[in-house]
Amino acid sequence: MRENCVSVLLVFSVMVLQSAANGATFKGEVEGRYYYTEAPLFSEQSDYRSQYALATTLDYNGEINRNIDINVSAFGRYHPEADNPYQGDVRELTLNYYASQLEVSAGVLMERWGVLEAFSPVDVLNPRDRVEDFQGDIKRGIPGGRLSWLLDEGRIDAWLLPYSREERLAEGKDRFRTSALAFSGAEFEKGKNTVSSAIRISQMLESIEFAVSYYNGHTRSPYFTPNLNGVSNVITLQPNYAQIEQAGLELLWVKGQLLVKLESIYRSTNDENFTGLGIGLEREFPRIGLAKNGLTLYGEYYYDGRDSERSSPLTPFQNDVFFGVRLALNNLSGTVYELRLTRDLDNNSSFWDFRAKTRIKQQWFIEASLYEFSNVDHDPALKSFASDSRLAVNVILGF
Amino acid sequence: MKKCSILFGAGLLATFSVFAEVDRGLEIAKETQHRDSGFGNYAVLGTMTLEGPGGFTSERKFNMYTIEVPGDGDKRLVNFLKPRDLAGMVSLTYSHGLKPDDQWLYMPALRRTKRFAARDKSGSFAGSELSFEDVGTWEVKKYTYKYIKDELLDGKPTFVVENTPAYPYSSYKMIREWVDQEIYHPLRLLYHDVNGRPLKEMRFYDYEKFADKYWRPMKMVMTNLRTGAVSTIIWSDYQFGADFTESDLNPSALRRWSK
Repeated sequence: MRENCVSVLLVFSVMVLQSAANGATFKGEVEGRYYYTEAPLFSEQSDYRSQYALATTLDYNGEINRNIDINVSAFGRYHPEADNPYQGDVRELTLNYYASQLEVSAGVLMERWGVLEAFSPVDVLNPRDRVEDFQGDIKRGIPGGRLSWLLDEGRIDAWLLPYSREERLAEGKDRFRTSALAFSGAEFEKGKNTVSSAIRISQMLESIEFAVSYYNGHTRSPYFTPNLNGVSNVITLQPNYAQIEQAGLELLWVKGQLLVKLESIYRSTNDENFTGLGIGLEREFPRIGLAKNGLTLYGEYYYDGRDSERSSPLTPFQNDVFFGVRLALNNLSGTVYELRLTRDLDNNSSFWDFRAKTRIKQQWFIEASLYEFSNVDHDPALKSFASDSRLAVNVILGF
Repeated sequence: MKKCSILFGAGLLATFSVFAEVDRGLEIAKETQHRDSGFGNYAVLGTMTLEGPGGFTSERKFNMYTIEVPGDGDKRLVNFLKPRDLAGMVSLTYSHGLKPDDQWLYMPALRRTKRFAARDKSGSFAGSELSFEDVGTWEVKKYTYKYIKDELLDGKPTFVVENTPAYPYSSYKMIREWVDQEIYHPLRLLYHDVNGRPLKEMRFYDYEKFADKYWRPMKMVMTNLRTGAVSTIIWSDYQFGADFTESDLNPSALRRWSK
């Protein structure tokens, strides 16, 4: 409720300020989506193998003057076979002030930390929208403010986030559910209204870029505890958001055509302390032969030292490798193909993700993605997705 | 013995001649740089039309901001406005003469500034026939120069100069350049691949003078001589002494530019 009130207030603020805006750009898209899936694993899940959805995203930038602008990124989806057919979120809604070295942003923030491709252990500020993307690449906006100071070749950012939002989890009719059990109300260790804070310092030293960060607040990814309702005798899972302190390190080294990457965290909670690590290589071949095709190869390894019994089933990338190939044809249609493989070394499970996108007319795009899970029956993080292999085809109108 | 002396003399003359051609080529390059130095910064709007062999076209629109860095390569930021899938994308390049450039790309959908390995600059610029090497800023030390001859091009007297990349990772063996003798700017570039075969041709049209000193083309056409594909850039709204500074072209501030 409070989130809705804040969003409405901020949208109203935008409408007021918009009248003063002297330069504004709108971007947006409308898409249709069709799924072709196996029968679902859980009885509650929708058993329509072919589903459709209509979604729209709207991006707005309004410049009030040279130093002040407004950014809005809103999203809405109608998906009849989803547990909640009507979904929307204000992913970003910020009033921004820029001076030569100073930046101030306030509103609903969307932040991105990290250098790795498949998963960024350091990226802790925004909760994920795991209904939109079970891999966590799509995030929910987080209310708060950011104060930044630009250095010659780096920046210092500090955040204050007045309250926490939950991760959006698939349940009921949704596919990509993490458990057969329903979720009960989320619990935040120090209360949802506890202020979170963070600071990040990033710096470039010729071919090396690094960043150090510190976050103090609720985790954005919950662990789950079973609850037995004494009256109905029904077991539910309660998402618990622990209060954490996390120190993070990001490192990127440009060596010829190779990028060497590292992310590491040390996280401390009341119950456990653990480290997480991701290392990666990225090699780009900008032109294959005389064609304009550009090829990029990725290889990454992830380790997470947290207690899997406690955090199960949702801890991703505990001992995993990731390989990716991206082929950009650099043609008039902007055609791009991408093949990604994530393999869990503990359970020998694999997740294949193939993506393709091309322009079919000036403003029309077609996008396809194929998810394939293999040997996931004994993988606690992926076994509930065993029947969720799917092909999705999106037709997108950009405006 | 006399024959040897004649041969020696001819060889000496040929050597002097080569040195003279090299010196003259370098003089032309230095004069070009001298005439174009001191601009500080400029901004310009580019509209690029890509034409495939089948007649299919696609348009990109972008703002380009260049800042002069005395003693090092220039800094250049490109802010894409169209089409929809590129809008909001911002690229920033720090040129470094013979060292690999530094290059970053801001991707608005991910809110992520990504560093790129830019040693190999042969990659396509926004799907066009231009590579990142072609759109990079020019520095005298990036090439060695050899004057070939004077030649009329479209009725204009030009110097024909062969530019050989000094950058070891260049995707070209040589670029033959036709330099306008009046304004000391290129009218034509003929790019030769690493095997020495002609690969692409760039033509420059409709030069105009800005800030009473700096000549800039209003139109550039790059043709791929192998495929026939053409990329045309129409430049407009040149602004010299524009309202941005070196600190604005900072990889940490790319999100500001994304619209």
